[in-house]
Amino acid sequence: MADVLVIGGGMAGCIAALSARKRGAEVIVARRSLGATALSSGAIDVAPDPAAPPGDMKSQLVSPLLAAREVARTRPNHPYAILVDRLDRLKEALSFAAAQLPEVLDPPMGRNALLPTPLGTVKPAGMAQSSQSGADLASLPESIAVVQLSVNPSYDARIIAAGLERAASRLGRKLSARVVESGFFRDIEDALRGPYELAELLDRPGAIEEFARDLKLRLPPGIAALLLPPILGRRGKSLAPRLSQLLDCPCSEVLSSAPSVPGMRLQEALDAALGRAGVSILETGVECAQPGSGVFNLGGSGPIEPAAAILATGKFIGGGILRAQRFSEPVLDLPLFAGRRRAVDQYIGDLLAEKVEGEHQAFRVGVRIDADLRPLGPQGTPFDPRLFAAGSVISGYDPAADKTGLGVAIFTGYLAGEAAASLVLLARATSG
Amino acid sequence: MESIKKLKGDLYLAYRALIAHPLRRLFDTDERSGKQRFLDNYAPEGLVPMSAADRQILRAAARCIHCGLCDAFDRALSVIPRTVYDGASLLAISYSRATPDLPRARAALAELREDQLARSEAVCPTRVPLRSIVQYLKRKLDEVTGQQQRAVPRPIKARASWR
Repeated sequence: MADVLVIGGGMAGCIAALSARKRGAEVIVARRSLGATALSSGAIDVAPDPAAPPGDMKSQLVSPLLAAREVARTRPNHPYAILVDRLDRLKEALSFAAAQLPEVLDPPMGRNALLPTPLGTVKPAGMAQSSQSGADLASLPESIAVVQLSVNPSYDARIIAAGLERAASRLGRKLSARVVESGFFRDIEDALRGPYELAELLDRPGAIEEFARDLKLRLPPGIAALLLPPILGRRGKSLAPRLSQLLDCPCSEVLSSAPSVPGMRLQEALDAALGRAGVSILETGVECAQPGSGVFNLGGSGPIEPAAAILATGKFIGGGILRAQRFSEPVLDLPLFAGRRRAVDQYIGDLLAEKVEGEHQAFRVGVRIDADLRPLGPQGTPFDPRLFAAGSVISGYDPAADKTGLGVAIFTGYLAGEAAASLVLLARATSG
Repeated sequence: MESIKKLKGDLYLAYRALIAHPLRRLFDTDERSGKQRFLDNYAPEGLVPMSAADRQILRAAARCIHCGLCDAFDRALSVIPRTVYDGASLLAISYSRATPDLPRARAALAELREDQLARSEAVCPTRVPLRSIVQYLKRKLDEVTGQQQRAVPRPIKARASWR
């Protein structure tokens, strides 16, 4: 019998489950499938400086905790703003996540790292995978090489190298990024393989050693760091440390776009952490037997009535928010909000900005929460005192564009897990 | 000048609608309905009729967001040569797009087993029913093949609708 039911198994749901489990609750995670975490770049974007002019790299070299406070001050609907009284615990939440995922995540950094993306831009991230943090633009050595594979058309080292040099000059530092072509993938079928398959090929015994030998022959002299496509190993830990050892040169992965090997690595590390903590994962859809009853039907497992439930179903990719003719929340039919307005059956064009880079309210639609992370019902009061929400199902932020996506997921998941466990302990104390 | 051209055009259309077409219907020996003639003309090219259930499958295929997660768990990829089959995501975003192109996927569909796609379907964030799509594609390929085998070559003039 579970004390806490977590609905959704991405970053927010897993951290909520681990947080509740740490405090002694019995937890079940019910998820239908993988979601946006497995598609993410693999780095943890906590908060950029919202006041930084576009392209200003220096302004982004701030503490992500300070930047989160600034986001809370300037954006009143953002989850950081709603939870502003507890924002001083953001670092604690990030450290908890890093401690739960030691095989992939580095501890939170004192300032945002500027990590290269496959689009030739750099992205501020408050925390990153061990294989990614070495690519921080502010700490890269002056002479680096970016590896180009003869396959994998979605990754172009020339674009990345040029983007890094441009960003470095904006940062006021010198950087020379050369492109090194690798001929490691030579099979005619390699040209048709996606990133997951290329990563699996590198996992084969002896493959990384052969890859290193190929690179060693091609590396020009004077290269002090190497950036590689995000395909360094599909299973478990990244092969970046091994490659660094073989080449005697620090090697890091560039961030990934979807399909994302580092994103999948992050999801699999979360699943492993749940297993270590003794949290059960059920791959099933969840239905609420009757809204407000606290009883949930889990696929074929029958109804359960947990002491607390956490809704961490994500937004459009995770399936936490649906939009067919109207916006809806499929598990409990909770009211949804776009900003302060109820999102019911608005024409979607009214919720989109004219420019692509503008602020699109449609992507911020979600459930509204109070300062205790309880979703609000139609009356503006908590829908159910035993229900909490975490991650991108919460309204007020766009996890893909705001650069606060996984940071909010970890922070709200951590606090929601804690709140759910408190209810469980209270119930136990009352019944005991 | 313009008004004379317009008058000529209108008169021609009136002739087609009021004289030529009724006379053709009167003396036409072809018993087939218009829909049947349409199907007879286009089915050999691979345009076969869609049932309501087929349309449901296609609507479900349209939910694909091209994230590629299904390819990461596609067991068929390690079994079928890449030159024949290129991943489960193509079922939704390519193979199911046009029935006339289905014969090109014949080799892939012949080797693809639905059970190889169970995990791919389970991890799909938007719940695209990959196994049902494979069933649909195999069924449609059979229909297209059957139609193409049944088709008897007819002279172009006999097929022209303006005769």
